[in-house]
Amino acid sequence: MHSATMRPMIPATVETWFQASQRRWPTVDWPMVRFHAHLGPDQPKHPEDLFLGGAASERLQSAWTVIHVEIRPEVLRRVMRVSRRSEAPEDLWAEALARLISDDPEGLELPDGRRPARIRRFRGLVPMAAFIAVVAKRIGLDRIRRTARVRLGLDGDPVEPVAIGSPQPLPQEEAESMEMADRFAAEFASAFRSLTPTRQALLSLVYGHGMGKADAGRVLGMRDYEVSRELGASIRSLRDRLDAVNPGTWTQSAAERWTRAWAAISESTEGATRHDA
Amino acid sequence: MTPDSIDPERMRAALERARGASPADDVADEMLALAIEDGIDALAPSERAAVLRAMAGDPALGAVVADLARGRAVTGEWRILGVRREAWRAALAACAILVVGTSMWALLLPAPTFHEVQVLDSSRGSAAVTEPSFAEWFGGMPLRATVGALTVLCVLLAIPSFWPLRSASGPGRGPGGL
Repeated sequence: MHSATMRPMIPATVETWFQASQRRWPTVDWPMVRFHAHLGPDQPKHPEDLFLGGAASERLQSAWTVIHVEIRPEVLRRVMRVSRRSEAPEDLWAEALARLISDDPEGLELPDGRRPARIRRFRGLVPMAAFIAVVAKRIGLDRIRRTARVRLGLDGDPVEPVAIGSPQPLPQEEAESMEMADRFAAEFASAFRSLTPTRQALLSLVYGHGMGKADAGRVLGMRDYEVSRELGASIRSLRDRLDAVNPGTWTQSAAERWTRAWAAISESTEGATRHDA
Repeated sequence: MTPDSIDPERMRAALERARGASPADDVADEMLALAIEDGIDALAPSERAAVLRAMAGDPALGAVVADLARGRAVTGEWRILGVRREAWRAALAACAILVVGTSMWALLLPAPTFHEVQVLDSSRGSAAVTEPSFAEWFGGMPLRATVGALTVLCVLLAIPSFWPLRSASGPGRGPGGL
């Protein structure tokens, strides 16, 4: 019957988005059916950018050209304003693009047998420039950490211990101290994880990263006075939880000291992060 | 031995063992971008919790969010009715200067009415000097209307100039998606 020739049902909203995308990116010739298939369950806030990302994920040269010409300046502006000395915005852009153009192992094969590009994971919830700026900044973060690891001598091949005779046992005092440290660390980790995610993040940002209260508040959507109040409450709550498991051992200053150490461990030695894009 | 007496290096090593893998690796870039664009409250509860836990495990990620949010604000990406916030504020400042300038000009003007409004008191047969009303003193109707209009304009311009940044929904959009 007519089912063989019937076009898949495409909702009116998708048609509207498609037409708007075509008006905005006239050089990107990507079929509406593919765009429809690319749409996810979430309602995109930026359907035109989602269209561009979808076309780019199917490796349309024109889409990548548009990204380079129209999206790049905005990404560079965003990254340049906040880049550190070690981050050259152009380098970050190039690396971000290389990452986004690389094969997405989770994507279904394209008709030509190739894998779609990783930019496929962009869902149009934010402007594409904002998305790429995050990818670029996370690449910058990885780079800083790699440099720190090299500086600390944490990279490179692990050195095999030379087996000469039996291993030297740790002195009794040393072994006890290590055991106690492990016990306190486990208590601390458990107490910290039992805090609300907002309090965990607040403690890490302020005590670990040394971020100002105003900045931390902006990140977490709190006002200045709320940050101070929550910070005090978080430390008290942490200390109470620690005191409950080990009464009389954890002082307020100890709780703060361990919080700083906890938050600081990822700052310099964390390996390269595994991004979704 | 107390938690306070553990030396920093040992504490660090023990915490690294206790911490395990960082949840930061699994946070989608787009979720972070959404937190930057619309604020962390714009995320769905489960995503919000994931982003917060990721920042707790890796504060540098929080710094990335703070940096980019600051960069976004600085680049003037916040637009209302397609106009940058800086432009709204400049217009507000100009309007306020005009209001103040016009009012001062009206008040300091050597108004002839101030000294010369005299009415003849027929019963006493002498001239009496009457104080002009504020409206008379301030100027005529056109001047008052101008100052009034400028004041209203100032109030209108103040709305987009000081609208909370987080409620802007993206480039080219303003409060409530204007």
